Amino acid sequence: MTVNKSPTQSPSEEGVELGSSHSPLRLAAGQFLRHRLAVVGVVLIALLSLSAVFAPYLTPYEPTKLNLQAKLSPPTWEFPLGTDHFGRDVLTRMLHGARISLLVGLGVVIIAAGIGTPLGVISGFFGGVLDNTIMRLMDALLTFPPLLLAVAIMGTLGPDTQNVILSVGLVYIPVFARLARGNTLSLRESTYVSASVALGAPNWRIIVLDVLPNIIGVIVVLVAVTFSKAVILEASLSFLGLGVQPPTASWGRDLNEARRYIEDAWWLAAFPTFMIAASVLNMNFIGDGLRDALDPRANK
Amino acid sequence: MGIWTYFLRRLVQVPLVIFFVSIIVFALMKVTPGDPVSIMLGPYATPETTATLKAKFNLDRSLPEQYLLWVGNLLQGDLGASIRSQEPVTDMVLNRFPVSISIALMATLLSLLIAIPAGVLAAYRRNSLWDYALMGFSTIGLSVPTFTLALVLILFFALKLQWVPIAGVGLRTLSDGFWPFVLPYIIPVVGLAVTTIAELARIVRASMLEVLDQEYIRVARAQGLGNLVILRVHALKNVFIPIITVIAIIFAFQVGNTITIEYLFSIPGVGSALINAVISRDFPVIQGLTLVVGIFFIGMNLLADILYAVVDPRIHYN
Amino acid sequence: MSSKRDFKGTRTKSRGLTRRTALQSAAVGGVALSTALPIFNIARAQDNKLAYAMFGEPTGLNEFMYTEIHGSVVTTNIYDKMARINYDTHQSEPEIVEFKNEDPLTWVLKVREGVKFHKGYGELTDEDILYCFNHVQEAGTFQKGITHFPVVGATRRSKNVVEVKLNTPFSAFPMVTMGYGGSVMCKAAHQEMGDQEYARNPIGTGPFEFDSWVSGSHVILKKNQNYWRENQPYVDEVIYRTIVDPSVRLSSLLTGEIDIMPRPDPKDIARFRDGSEPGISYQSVPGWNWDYMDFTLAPHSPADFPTNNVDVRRAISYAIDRQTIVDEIYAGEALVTDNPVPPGYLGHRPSPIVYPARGDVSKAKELMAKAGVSGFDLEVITSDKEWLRRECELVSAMLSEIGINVKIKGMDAGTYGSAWFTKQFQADLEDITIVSPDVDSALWWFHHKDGMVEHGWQNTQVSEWLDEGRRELDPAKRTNLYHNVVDAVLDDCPYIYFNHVNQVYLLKDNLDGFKAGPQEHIVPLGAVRWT
Repeated sequence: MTVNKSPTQSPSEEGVELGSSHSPLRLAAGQFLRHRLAVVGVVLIALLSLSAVFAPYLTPYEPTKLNLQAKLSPPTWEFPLGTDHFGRDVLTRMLHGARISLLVGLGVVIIAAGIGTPLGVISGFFGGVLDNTIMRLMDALLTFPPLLLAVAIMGTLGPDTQNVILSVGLVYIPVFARLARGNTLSLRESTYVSASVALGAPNWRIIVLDVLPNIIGVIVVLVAVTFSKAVILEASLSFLGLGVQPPTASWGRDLNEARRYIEDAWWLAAFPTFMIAASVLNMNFIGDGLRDALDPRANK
Repeated sequence: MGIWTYFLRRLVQVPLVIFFVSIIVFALMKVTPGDPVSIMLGPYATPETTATLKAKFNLDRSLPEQYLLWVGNLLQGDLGASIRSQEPVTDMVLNRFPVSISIALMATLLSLLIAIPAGVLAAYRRNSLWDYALMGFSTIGLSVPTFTLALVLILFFALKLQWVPIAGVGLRTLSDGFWPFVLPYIIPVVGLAVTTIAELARIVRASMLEVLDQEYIRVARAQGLGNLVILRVHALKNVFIPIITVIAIIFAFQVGNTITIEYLFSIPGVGSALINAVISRDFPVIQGLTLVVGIFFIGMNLLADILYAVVDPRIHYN
Repeated sequence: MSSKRDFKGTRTKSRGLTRRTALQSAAVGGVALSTALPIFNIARAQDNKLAYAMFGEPTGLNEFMYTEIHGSVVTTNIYDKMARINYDTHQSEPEIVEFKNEDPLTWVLKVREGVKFHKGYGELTDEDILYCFNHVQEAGTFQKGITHFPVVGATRRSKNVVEVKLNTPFSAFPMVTMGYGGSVMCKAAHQEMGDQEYARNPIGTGPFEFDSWVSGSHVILKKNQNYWRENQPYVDEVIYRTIVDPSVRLSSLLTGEIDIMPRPDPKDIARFRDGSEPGISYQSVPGWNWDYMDFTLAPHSPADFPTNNVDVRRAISYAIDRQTIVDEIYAGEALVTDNPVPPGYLGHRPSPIVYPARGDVSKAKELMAKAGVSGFDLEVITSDKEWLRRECELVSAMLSEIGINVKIKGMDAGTYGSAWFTKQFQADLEDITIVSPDVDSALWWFHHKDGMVEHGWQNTQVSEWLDEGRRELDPAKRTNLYHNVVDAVLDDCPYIYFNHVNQVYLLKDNLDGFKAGPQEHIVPLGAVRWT
């Protein structure tokens, strides 16, 4: 969702609490732990990550090995979540699909936050023509619906897991840039930073020591939200056939194949849907918890 | 700085953004392998016929040249024609935009009609079963991709119950009768609306709670005004502020989100046209449609800002 | 094995259940159903209209510009052909023009009289036929190099008699030339409108005339009141709807939204094949096409790449279990083959000739060992047809048995076209429809050194045989030549052939006169009527 509750340019001038003396980290941690759903989210996502990492050892099957004798078996003791049209174990594919989804989510936030945040900070800090150019470029990127932009970039790069990460990452760069710019802008105007500038501290020093630590909170919240969006976007791309390629297990791709059997084999559509929804849900919970803990505006 | 200066400044930025949009589109095309001609000719392409066709569509010129040609024609009001189907892009915009817009509009209206009462009720009966149910629905609704929702709706209402057809948007006009015209829209619209209902209901509930906590409501309550009166007169008025500001954004989101829906339901909208154009490297269509979509989104963002500024005078313009 | 039987049992049972639940809900929701269902089917049978589901969007309707399946499905009914293929005899038969050859280089064409163009464009004359031949040469349309290469030009002899000169004796004339070039188009309309406009507003002499086109949704054709064939067409209007998804197509057919659908999902065919679905009939004919795999060969790929070793290519061909592909991907609606000459074509031999239907993995392993290749990564590209992507998955599993690690790259049409055109692929899995009933169309373009730019197989001997096959007019001698070509292909494996896929259609059983053909892009509807 791209619903911003604030308009495009609304730096909150009351600003962020700066340099609080009592350990903000511990405060935030306490705040986060009070958010019960967020804790549940962390536990479940951790479990999912572990089972993705150890997927090869958790089931006796391979995700891509065909077993035509056992095709389209409903859930049984042998195949707890049934098998697909090539007789592949759905549970195994779900676990291996988690690898793709988590990998994509992780890669996307690294690219988006890693490029978007510096762009936004530089833009907000230095202002002027540089700011105007960067932000209009970001506006232009934001003009496209995320899925459409991702589709166009995938067309350019060709279908591949790395390319999914790259294109979805690119899509979310402007979101980070905007948030970072808005917050940097309000910090820049705060007495604290203006004082440092006036005292002649080098720019990079101010950015690294004063700006970044103070915007990291909102960025982390956005990371959690973006992670879950990336999971959905990967699923959508793979659903359209442009994302992860067969026979690699991906929830979105498996869901696309399941469409053919929606009347005959409910388990094929049900489990990928569940996996997508559950992981997005839990990431959202974590995001909510982080917002409560780290976003000063939400705290009030 | 006054509100009008602010608008003016925003408006001045628009051409720059559009310029960047067209540059991005062109840059994407430049690095994209494939050209429409070899796709059109398929396996029987010969270098000779490929060259002839390419020259015909100016594809043999350099990219900057192609870009300038396109801009030149654009300034004369000509968006060009599809290389694939020869359909003028202007016609495509005129035929397809209304379809996407009407679906998005219906989904937005449906979201408002459901989310506002539901959110208000949830806030008013805070911590009731209804509140939990709505928040539960909203949380799940935000986690499920639109295309999955659409699949579930297809399964039950089109395949099992056969109440509505799956495909057929754009096939009939109102002159064929009300129901034949409306029925094909139902699943796509409902599928699209679920996400926004979930989002909107949350916003409504949160702002309603904020309002209910405010001093004057408490005073009104203390004065013994009936609950319903308080709700109607004081609270609702304030709830509409955040809603009005997000309507434009929700609407724009719906237009963007129709892509998977249009793909799934064979709907002749902008999204499906764009995907097809990207797939077949139909440059004039990609350029024309992204430009129009881009302007539409910029307009919607501007509208959102204006609405925000109008309904919430507290905002500052830097 | 027992689990398979179990599975079949449960599937039948669950299907029965589904039907019953649907009936129950029908009874419960009777009101809603009884009001909803007639709405789908706006009484087309009574209105004498027909709805056909295309599985993609037509490109354009101008036959001078390009040809592709969906556009062609529509234009089949807008344009008449000079000569049309008779699928039973494998010969072309006159439709608008009668072909007679005076000597190997001269053909005399007699134009049918009393044929009128749509929308008041007047009577068809020799002028239009001349234009159809000469515009191809003059404007250099795509047909020039593909189907019109033996044609020098056409001249008028007398009223409605045209002479076509060839540059070489050509045994496959006019069949090959009619493959992509035989549509009769209107000179006056084309000159007046130009290519672009004509593609959106075609004028022909066929059974239906163009009415309207809402891109992305549907094309509507109306009955040609002046059609030269008596009584035809029977229906007043045909609406071609684009419905890409096979399951949506099928449910649209079942709910009465459409009347004829091509290409049902193979998994759904069984219940129609045995006639257990009331109201729907099923037609299936062997197709003039093949699924195949080919490789970019040296010098277009590194000489030391494993697929440049003939034994590796043979090993791949042996490793393919063609019967499993036919069963799993096409649910039996395909014919196993190891060569490109389908039944009915000159030179066809019962298949498989060399490579067994079930494959021979041990032989394949032997060949890999002989080639000294233990295993390698092979990138296989395929276009966006979903059944081919599934086929790739099967092939990938089969090749993993001999140590080849297949990496599938499903591409959108654009990327695929360019990767393929520039030979930037290691291997390619695709299907192709043969354009004419002459065996030349199945071989020359794919295996002649001057043919398709695709893979670069440079076999001079084969090229000579293929050229000789074109010049040779004696069928027995041609048969020999083409046997030689096929044997060489089977031995050297520049292409590996899998199967010919049936053309399957599902339609309302109160439709009469529909006849499925072996070519996917030709679907005439002039003789179709409601009973």
